[in-house]
Amino acid sequence: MSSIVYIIDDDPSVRRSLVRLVREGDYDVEAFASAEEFLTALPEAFVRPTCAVIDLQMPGLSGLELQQRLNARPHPCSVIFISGNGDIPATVKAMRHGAVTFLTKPFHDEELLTALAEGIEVHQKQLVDSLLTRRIHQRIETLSERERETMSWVITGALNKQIAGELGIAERTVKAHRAKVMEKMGVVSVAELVRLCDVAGFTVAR
Amino acid sequence: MSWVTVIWSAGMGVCLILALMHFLIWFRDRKSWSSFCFPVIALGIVCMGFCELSLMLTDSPDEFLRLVRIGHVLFGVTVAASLLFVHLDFGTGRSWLLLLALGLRTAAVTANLVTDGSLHFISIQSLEKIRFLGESISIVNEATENPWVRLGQLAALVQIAYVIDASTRLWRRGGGLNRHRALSIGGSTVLLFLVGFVLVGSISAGALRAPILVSFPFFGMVLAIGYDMSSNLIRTAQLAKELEANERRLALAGAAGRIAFWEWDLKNDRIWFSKDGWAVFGIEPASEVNFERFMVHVHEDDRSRLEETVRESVEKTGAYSAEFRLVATEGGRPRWLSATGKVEKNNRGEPVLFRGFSIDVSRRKDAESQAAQQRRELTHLSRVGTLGALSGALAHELNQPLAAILSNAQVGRRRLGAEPPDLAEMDEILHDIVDDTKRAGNIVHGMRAMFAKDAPVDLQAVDLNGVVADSLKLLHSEIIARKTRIEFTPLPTLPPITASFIELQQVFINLIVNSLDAISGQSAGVSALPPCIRIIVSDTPDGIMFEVADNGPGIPLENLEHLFEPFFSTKSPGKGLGLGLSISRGIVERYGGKLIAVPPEDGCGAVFRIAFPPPSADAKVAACDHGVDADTPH
Repeated sequence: MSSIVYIIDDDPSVRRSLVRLVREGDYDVEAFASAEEFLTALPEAFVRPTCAVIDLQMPGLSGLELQQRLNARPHPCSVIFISGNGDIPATVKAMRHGAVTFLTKPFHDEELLTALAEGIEVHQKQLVDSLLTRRIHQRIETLSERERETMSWVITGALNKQIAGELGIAERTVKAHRAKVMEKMGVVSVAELVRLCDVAGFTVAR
Repeated sequence: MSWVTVIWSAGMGVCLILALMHFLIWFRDRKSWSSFCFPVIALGIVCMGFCELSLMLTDSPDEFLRLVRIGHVLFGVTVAASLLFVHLDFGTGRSWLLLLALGLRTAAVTANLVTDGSLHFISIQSLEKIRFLGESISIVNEATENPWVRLGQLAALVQIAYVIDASTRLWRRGGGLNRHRALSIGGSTVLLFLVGFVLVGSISAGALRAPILVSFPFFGMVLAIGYDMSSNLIRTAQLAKELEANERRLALAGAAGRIAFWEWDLKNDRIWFSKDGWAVFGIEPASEVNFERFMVHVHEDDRSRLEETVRESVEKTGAYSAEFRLVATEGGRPRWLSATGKVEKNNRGEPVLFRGFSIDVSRRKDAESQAAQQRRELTHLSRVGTLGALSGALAHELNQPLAAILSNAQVGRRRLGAEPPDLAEMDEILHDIVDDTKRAGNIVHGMRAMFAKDAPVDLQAVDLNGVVADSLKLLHSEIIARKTRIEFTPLPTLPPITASFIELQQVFINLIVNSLDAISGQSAGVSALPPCIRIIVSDTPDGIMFEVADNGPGIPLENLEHLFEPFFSTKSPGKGLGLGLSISRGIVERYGGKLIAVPPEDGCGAVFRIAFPPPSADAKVAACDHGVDADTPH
């Protein structure tokens, strides 16, 4: 997937210089003069790996407020903050709400490009992960109730005999369910299955 | 001893003494002619007295007639002297009336000498003896009246008219002394003339059988005049004592306070100075000084202004007040003098005397220029303080263009290696770098200007729109940080003001920062309105007006005037000295303007209003103030 970088800064010459710089990094880039403009132009959901470079101090909606709005969306994009003032409370707040980094103007091209790479990668992973998660869930949907129960025991590392005991069914039945699960989930080993369930957030049995 | 002789001799003795005394007095001060008339009158009375005595004692009608004739001549001389005395002493008589009276009396005396007998009788046939004061004296018995006596009577009437007129005019002048003289001297003279008129008239007509007693009314007049002149002497002695005391006081004041008293005789162009006054001006004591010579001692820069002030006082207002410098003595600084004076006019309304005093105020002037210096420094410190408080915001303002420059330059270097080289883009990049550098430079320039100590003659034609715009630029990031909206529409037709750009900028920054602090100081949720500062500019016939209004909590009514007092602050301790508004007001007032806090209305925040007068008056005011500062002695 091709990534995109957004630049949100009220200062026109800063915007122009950043657009040039980001293009140097071979990213697609779009610039906005205010948070409101940016939010209006954003698509409903993030489909491309996205990184937003946001100025902290802007008239209207501030950078931190914009970050909160973005975090309210599903799979929020990465955020890099830039500011002419190194305000420690604002920095802390920004980082705690998940910003990639906080750069004080004037900053070197390398600093921004490195941060962009990191941000894009993180969001990409998030998107991919979510895509994967969806697929896993789809697969889990195809399992029957019993098969699901069985899976929840299998990933604990329990033996077939133990699972049979827990579920109150014959060992032979457990083996049959187990095979179905492996087939439908598209895995060859228990380790893989465990990982998939982990990614999907499938709860382990007690 | 006959009573008649005794009384008459006594009377004549008194008159003689008075005559002698006042003759000696006149002799000492020969300028006072009224003092000369008086001895003449007294002497005349003595002679007339002799005459009357002889008349009473003679038995011969012919002798009687001759004595009457001589007596009338003496009478005429005395009358003339009396009239002259009244004229000179009162100063209120009408000259033509006097001349008429004198002329008529002279004519009567001439007629007296020319006609047969005397003015009153052509001939006396017989005398009669009557008892008078225990003696037998002669009076006219049978006589032929001389028709020329009417001339004498006419003269007497005109004399009376003149004296009455002179006396009433003196009375109307007012004042206890004048009225007293009018009554005593004028009254007795009128009485005398009247008695003489009636008495002599009735005797010559044969209606009255009595001796001619003209000398006694005269005697009354002499007493009146004598009393008056003696009390004059007493008063003069008192005045002399007072004058001496005054002189001593003046000398004390002059010596202690370096005060010079001066009098300028305008007719003769001659200036007199008091004893210590010469030293104050640095002029040789008792030298001949006229106005031109005096002006040589005045500082070149002040000469024309002083001449004009003096001319206006002498020709128009009559009152004089001026401050000027004297030429600096060797190795010294020019001294400042403060002069006050008054022009005195004569009866015709022409200025004759210019009198006043001058005080050396160099020390006060030194203190004033020191105070001005300190005020400048305090203003500067306040500016620096404000700048310090805004340092975060200003750093932010600088960082914007710097960030753009850095990014652009680094991109440019990366693109240098591109194949083919994109020169158009390089040009764009460099163009942007140049613009941003200028922008950063402006901000630094603005900061440096605020740090600068104002040079005394840094006045320019200042566009107030530019002052506001520049101030807003410097405060840009601060305004954004406080999430405040600024509403300002420049007025292009606004005339410029002659002032210091930096100082006016200081005032605006002060007001806007105060509004920002007020708005962000109020607790959240108090105001539902988004913070806003409105700057309104207007150009009215009364002058240029600026208003800075915010929608913060506003100013409580009781603080409204205290705001401008030094060290008054409603901010928490540590946030500013509280000098901003008092210094701002000082700056505005120095350029002839006013800075007030408008009384609050419901629902509105604080409103500050600056009003400058229309620019024509500005230049003079500013120049004056800075002119004084430029005279700081060094």
